[in-house]
Amino acid sequence: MSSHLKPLPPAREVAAPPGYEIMTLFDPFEAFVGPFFDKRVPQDGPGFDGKGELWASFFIDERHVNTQGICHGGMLMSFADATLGIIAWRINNQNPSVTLSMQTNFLKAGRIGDLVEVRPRLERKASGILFASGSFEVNGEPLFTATSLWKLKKPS
Amino acid sequence: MREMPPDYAPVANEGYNAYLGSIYKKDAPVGTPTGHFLFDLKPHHLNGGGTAHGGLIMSLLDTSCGATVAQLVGASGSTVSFNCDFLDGVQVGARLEIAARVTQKTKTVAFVEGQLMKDGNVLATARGIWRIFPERASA
Repeated sequence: MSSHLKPLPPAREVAAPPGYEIMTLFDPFEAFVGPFFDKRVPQDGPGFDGKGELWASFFIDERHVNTQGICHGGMLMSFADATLGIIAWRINNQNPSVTLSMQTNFLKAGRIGDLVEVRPRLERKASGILFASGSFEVNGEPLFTATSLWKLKKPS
Repeated sequence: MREMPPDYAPVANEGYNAYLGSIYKKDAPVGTPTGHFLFDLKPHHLNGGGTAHGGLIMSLLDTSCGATVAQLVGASGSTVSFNCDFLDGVQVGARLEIAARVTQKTKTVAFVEGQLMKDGNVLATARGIWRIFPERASA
């Protein structure tokens, strides 16, 4: 499945923050609202796959805000779907997975220029099902939290 | 692409919703607790599997539920909590319908339910809680 997917360029060029790289994206919608950034930090822990803690981030820009200048909830949920989905994708040997359910809370308002960061967490992998969650933070302060349930699909 | 019905208008002309591609809301008077919305699914809304991205689906439901709260209260609120279940996928070219309903309103919060459908089949359901600011409503 993964072999025929091609990386897509993000809709605009944004420099990665220090320590991060531009995330490789395969979903047209993620490229449209991206770029996103990622990094692995082994000293933060082994991470869900033993390869170091995964961090992911994006900068809120004027494409992402509502008429009050606050980051749209849909954008934060899109970033959550994308980044918690990385765990499902990796754990399922880069075979597709689908979101079954997502639960979110909005703790604060995000504004243009904020770097939203998450360390996606694997809660549990069961047979064909995976639980993942994340606390999405700006400057270390929680902005938004999400828990999610994924169906892991078999290789097609 | 099919024309939108004449009694529908875009919910936003700027920001995230305008960037996504317009969500059209059916005209209804302030105080109405139900909202109806239409959205045409385009290639930039998809995931790598060729179906609507989950983030796009949640964006449509969040916007539609929030616009229904705003219609009821007369002023926009903000999402505090939002839960979504994904029942089925949908392919490009589809015209999606969203129906939202405020089920309870207090002085400070509104409880909302939404359904996203294609041809009457439910593809996703959502429930959320909005912080409301009735004092911001223009008389």
